[in-house]
Amino acid sequence: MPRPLKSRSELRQRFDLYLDEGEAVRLRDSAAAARLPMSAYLRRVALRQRIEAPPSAANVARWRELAPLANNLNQLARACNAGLAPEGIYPAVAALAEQVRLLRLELLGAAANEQEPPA
Amino acid sequence: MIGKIAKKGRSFRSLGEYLLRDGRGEIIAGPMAGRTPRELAAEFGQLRRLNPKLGKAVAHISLSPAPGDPPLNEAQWQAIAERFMSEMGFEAWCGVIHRDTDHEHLHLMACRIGWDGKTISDANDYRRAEAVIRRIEADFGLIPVPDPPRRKPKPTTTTPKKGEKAMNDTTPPPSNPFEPGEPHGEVWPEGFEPGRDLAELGMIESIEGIVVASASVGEELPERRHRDMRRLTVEKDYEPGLRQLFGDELATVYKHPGGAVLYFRPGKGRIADAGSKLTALGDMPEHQAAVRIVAIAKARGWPSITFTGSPKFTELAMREAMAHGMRIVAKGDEQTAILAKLIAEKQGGMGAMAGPSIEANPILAPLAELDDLPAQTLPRTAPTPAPVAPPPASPEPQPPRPPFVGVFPAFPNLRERIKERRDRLAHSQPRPTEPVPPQPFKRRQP
Repeated sequence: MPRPLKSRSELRQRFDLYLDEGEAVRLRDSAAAARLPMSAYLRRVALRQRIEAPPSAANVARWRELAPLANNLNQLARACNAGLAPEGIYPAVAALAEQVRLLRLELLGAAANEQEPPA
Repeated sequence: MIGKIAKKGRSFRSLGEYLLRDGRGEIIAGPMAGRTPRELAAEFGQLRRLNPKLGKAVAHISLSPAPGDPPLNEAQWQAIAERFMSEMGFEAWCGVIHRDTDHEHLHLMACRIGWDGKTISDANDYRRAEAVIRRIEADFGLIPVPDPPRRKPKPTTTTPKKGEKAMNDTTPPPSNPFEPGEPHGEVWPEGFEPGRDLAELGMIESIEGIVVASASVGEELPERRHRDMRRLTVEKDYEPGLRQLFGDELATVYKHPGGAVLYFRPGKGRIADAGSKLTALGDMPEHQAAVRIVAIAKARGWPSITFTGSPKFTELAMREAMAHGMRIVAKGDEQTAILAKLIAEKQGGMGAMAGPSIEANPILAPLAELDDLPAQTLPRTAPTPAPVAPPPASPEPQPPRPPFVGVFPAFPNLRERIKERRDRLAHSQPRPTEPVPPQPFKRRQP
């Protein structure tokens, strides 16, 4: 059975690109940084499409470290809210928990998108 | 505990909306910081950039207690969720509890990408999830749910058992309620049977000696061009184009890897379309096949067309193609004869119908003398006198030419006629050994 044909709109053309060693290394590095295959990266660059860089490894690591802390804070806030702690602590703990939550969103760069108006 | 793995999805936003819409769910577990579908989608979206190639990055699993399980509190749900997700290997996830149904249950939304950017394996995920849930049941004191029955492995042989039908295609075509002789029986539409079409095409291709009515592009084309022409059948406007061409006559279009098969109504008959080749299948009458095949070829803009099939079909199809002004390539002597006959017929027909004769036209009139003026019409680019044939040595008075009728024949074969005449003269008059100096042209008096 022959391979199914693609329609003309799906077809892609292929061409060769000559780079010297330094250029190749640079492009390969930036493509790897964007976590894209080199051809996909070059196509996006050439066509001025958006390249979404992933969050940096350090930020992801910090986001992960803060996860249990945020969890504990949430539990504390709940306990305070349920009356298991002295009066007046709940607002402070809740505010702290919210701060940590926003910090974690900020670390991943997800908070910036939140400011955009809904589509 | 009963687990269910939903299909892998593409959108965190839509799953989040489903889980949290109108306050129906509450996030109770997971390392995510987002609290709304929008925040969650943004957060998962950032993690998704670690592996942009993975399109279906959304995993969705639900856990619900078995009937008879004791009610679980939030901490227990949280512990179960954490245990399940860590054993399944997910790293970024969130657990949403739904209490809006009779049985409260937990949804788990997870990103299928790990911190290193690699896809988290989903190999054997149904079985692994089952095993994890059995362990959770044991550890949390829940009712053990029996494993769902395993599916029997498919039989490896395809030999049909006794009493079983050999063909996979079990949908029978609507039976023809009329007797074969009745006129209604003749036009009863043919059942839609893709399997039969492919078998028929395979037989036509593989067995020599089966001659069916078909047409293809006249030129020899490279395989690449054939493929490009076949690509038409997968384009979006393929079927609408055909419907425009045939209207209600076209019943069904069945696409297969080698092209398409067009079903016509009323009556029987299909045309297999391979892009550069059109084959009439079934019992399509030859005149219909000719008209339809040529119509498709014309609409597709084939530069030329060549036919295969019975002489009757060839003649009908050539006539049709000629009427559409297509260039016809004849294969073999038989087809050449048919084509010559048709051309002669056409010229005769045109001549009889033609208005002004060639001699009445002041511009074209000199051409009528073509046959009488051999030397003058030779190409002027030959400076050497050698190829110029001398005029006939014995100029005997020739009978007056019959008047030329019609415009058409004078032009298309001008070169051939000149060449033919040159050859004839060269044969009848052996060329002199010495070059003859060019003689001044003298007009003969009839």
